[in-house]
Amino acid sequence: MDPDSHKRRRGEFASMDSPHSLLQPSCTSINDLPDCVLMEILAPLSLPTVVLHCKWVSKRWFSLISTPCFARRFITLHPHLHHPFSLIFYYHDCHLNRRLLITTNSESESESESKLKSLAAYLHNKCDPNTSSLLACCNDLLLCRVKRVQQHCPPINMVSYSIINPISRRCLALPPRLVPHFPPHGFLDIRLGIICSFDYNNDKQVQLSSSFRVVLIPWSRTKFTTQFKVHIFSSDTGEWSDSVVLCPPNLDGFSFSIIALPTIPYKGFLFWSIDGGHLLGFDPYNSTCCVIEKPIQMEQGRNLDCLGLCHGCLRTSQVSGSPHCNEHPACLRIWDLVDFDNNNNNGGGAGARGKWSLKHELYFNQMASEKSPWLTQYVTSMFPSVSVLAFHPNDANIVYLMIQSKVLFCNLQSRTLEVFCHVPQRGHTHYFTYHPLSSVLPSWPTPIPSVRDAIADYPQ
Amino acid sequence: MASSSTSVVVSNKEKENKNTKKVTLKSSDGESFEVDESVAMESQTIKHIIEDGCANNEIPLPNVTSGILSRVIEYCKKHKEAAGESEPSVTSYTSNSTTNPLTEWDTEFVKVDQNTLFDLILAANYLDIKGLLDLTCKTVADMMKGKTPQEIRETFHIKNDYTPEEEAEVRKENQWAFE
Repeated sequence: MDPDSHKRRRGEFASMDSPHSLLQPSCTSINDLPDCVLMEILAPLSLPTVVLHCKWVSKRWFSLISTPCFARRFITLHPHLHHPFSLIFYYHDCHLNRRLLITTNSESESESESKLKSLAAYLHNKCDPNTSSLLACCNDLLLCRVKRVQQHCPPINMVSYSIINPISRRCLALPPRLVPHFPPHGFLDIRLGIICSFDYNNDKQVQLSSSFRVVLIPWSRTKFTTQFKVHIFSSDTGEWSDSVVLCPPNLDGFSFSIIALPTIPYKGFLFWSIDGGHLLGFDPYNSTCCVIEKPIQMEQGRNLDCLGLCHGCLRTSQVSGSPHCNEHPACLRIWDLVDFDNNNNNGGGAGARGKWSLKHELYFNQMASEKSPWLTQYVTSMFPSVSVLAFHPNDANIVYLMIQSKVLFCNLQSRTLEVFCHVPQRGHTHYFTYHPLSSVLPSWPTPIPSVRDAIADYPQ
Repeated sequence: MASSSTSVVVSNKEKENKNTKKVTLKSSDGESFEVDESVAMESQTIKHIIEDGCANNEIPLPNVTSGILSRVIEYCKKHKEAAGESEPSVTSYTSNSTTNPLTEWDTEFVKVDQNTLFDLILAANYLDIKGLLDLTCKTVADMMKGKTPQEIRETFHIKNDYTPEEEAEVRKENQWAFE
């Protein structure tokens, strides 16, 4: 149909408006669109386009993109299915310097290569591996600790923590804490974690914000019998606070596992590995505890060796097997947590929750590698030295292993192994100074409240 | 020329069943368009008006000019035909274009100047026609891909309301974003 035919016939309809509308051409522009419509145009775009380009076009676009409503719409249109994630871990190079290795597993190789390089450069810059450590993470927020020794008598460790979002390059330094260099009795170990709550649904907020808690639990390597101290930093108050938490009732006291697994935030709780293969959960928002008891099929005498999230589910693993016994060949077991929300205990949180469901049980001598025959040979030998590095956050069939300085990609369904990357470390045994952090990028970068938020000060 | 038969029945080219109900839509500049009720109901706004019984056979649309309204009707007709006997379809533009036979037609449909495009967006929003809104919004979004903020401003004639000092501050803080 020819729209111009209407223009021709317009004269037939003697309307007072028609001559006027003929003379006035439309000058509608993008500025005339209401916010809700502009949102429909911008929200389906990719994150880099929106955050890096659209946000800076004008103040109106900036404030629109900063609202919780926009973030919510964005997330709906970009489902959390195949999010890139980074594995961050430390190793010692041939000069015994600590180095940071970051690998990622996003879709397109070339795009991820340059992003990874800039991410790695940023992190190396911000947290020099020789003086600082990335210790915990929650989605895209990383907790970094810097230790500086102040010359004093006795020497004092100045420990400062900061939260970094390497994607948005935001960094927030937490108020410093003083820690005595040599505590009066024995060791002082600290278990810590970060958990954040990102409220997309609060439209009363003008700007998107998130609140997080950093939890520190000092541990002198002895058993906690009745209670333990926690230090919590709240982003809402901007301060540290100290409190005492009662030990969960169903354990007869507890002790953290000597080798710390990464602290995992899950369903409002931060989980640490404790002796006996159990997990201790602490909710810093409500100051409650819970316990996840060890998997039934776990081998006694050894702890769990990896903890992580996969498809939003808590996952753990153990490599078991004895080198001296033919009847117990090396075996990898993987459990997923189920029934966490069923409150079949009196009073809820403080008891044991959830149970582990065995999802995979693989014997290494049944695995094979298509591309690397040396791998097949190695894993079918008497006692391969294998450690579990991390779980794939999106794919339940994949787990990352470490064998002889190589990070391997293990497909649990097909029982195959492929080399993912090489770690140029000194020697073949990887000492997990800190277990790798698995940082999953959410659809929308988690905002960090910063003191000097110049952008937020711009008037609308 | 018999004005009674040609000027009133505007857009029906096919032989329609005489029992097909029609409604008249009146644009802001006073022009009337008679369309099949089923085509008009591609617009949720019009659908509600009809269902609420307020139609009275002529529905005024003060926010839509005749030029835009005629295009909108064209879109609705085409999509209604393609949907066949099924309910007014909600064409989603996230679907694979090779399976959508209307993709080519739609692509041609949105090859208009910016003003018309934005008028179409506003009309689709006002009339609540999801398929048209998705199509037009996506067209605009595609125009933004790969462009720097300055290029986006130029394309869409957006005024840069950051002062030079503010812009310098923003750039400094976010240098990495502009690489």
